[in-house]
Amino acid sequence: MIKMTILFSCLIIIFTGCSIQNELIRDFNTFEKSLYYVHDSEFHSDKNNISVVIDSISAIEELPYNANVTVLKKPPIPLLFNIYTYGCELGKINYEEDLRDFLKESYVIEAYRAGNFIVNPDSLQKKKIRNEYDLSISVNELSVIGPYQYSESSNFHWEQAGPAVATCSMDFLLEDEDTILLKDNIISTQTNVFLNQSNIIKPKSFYLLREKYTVAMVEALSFTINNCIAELVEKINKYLIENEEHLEIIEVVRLDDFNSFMETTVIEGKTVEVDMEHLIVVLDDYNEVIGKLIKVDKHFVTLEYLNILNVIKRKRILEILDSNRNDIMEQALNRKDFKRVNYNSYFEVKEFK
Amino acid sequence: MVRSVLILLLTIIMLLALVGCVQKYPIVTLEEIEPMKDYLPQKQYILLEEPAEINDINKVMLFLKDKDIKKAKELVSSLRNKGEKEKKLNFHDGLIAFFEKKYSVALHMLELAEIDSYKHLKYLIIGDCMYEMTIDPNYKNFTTKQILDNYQKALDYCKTEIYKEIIKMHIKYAKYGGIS
Repeated sequence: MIKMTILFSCLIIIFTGCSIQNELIRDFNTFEKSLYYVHDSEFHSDKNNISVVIDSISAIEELPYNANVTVLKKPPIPLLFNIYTYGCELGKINYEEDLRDFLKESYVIEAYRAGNFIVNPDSLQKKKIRNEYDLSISVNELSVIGPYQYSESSNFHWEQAGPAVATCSMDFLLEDEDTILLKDNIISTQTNVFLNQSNIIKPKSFYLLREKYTVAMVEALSFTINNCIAELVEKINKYLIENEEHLEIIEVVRLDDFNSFMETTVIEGKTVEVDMEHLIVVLDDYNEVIGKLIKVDKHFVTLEYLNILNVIKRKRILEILDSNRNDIMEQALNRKDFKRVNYNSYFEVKEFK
Repeated sequence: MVRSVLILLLTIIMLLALVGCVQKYPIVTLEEIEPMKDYLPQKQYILLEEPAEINDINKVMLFLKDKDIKKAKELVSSLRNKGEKEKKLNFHDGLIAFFEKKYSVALHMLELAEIDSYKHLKYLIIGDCMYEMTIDPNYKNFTTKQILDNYQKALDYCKTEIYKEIIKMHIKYAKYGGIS
């Protein structure tokens, strides 16, 4: 009888441990968070007559794709209060961005911002550039791992997450054709102090805890990537200052240029186009009236904006644009499915006749 | 007994009403934020850096802080009648639209606005508009990068350390939906 009880308890523990492990794997593979970060390095406006173009980023494909959860510790014998410790590791699935594109773009933005050299030179800049160097990056490690503890008894459920350790390690090579100019390794680690626990029996709160943990982990990894890329640009800056003899400033980049540059860098991610709620009506005197469409009749188009009713004579309309400034045919306003909004009161009525 | 239960219920209702009134983007003055600077609460504050009498933008902000949108609109209307530049007034209109939760209008007006000394605030609120539009299924979705690019500008144009910390808090919300 005693033997049977022990065997039965052991089976329950093994079964609980496995099912929780599977639940954690399933949950951690549903979270997708952005690695994108805001650059906080010192702005370097003077750009010298050297260009450093990223040639390759290797070893990204070796990183795990899915999030993984392994059992680190489980109770040796059945007790009333059993604690399981799991090791959680995030995979590429947890990041919104493609890692290779993200690292490349991060370097380009950081070099444009903090580098003392030209990055991705255009044809005009190429004429002024004295030396063009290639940069190769090999990612040794890009991981974030942390413990996750779980315990459950008949009336008590408890989970605890963290602290996770994020590591970004990369080798880089600066070359002038086949001559190696600079070879170095950069490592950045970040231990996230995020720790949470809960004893409320609400399945949703534990799902939220797991999501919070993923957020903390992705944020830690994002921080290490930021550090590594910033250090990489600093090292290239230092190398050029110490080793290049004929440095000459060929371009001065202002903050406004940086902003325009940011807007032109490739935008990765998912966008869904949905009808925006307001229109822009361009009048014959090139003034613009914006607002939500209220009414369209034979002679007038009526728009509402900030509780002001704008009544526009159709003859005065040059063009009608959506908020992305795409031209909408005037006839399109008569479509029955066009978004219309009704308001009962207006502060003011403005007429454009 | 019945009386104490009623008092308790009334207190709960009042507390719930108070919670409902809490603005998502509370406007705070420097004096209000100063005591919290070492440990900022996880909120998307908008900072009013100067007293209201400095200029009309601060006056509009102060009206919005008091949730008096009508007075803010009246002020903008009077400025318009006085012949104030439209590019500047777009900023005021954008601010008002933002606090009226008309995010696409606010975004449009702020993008048109040209106002040098408030560039950080302009881009901060553009980022917030994009974030709000993205989490609302009726609006257009923006990528994290598109949103963060605006916060990047806000951070770069910002000169006050405490405001930079506030902007970083907005970034956290935009990246992780306020769950961090």
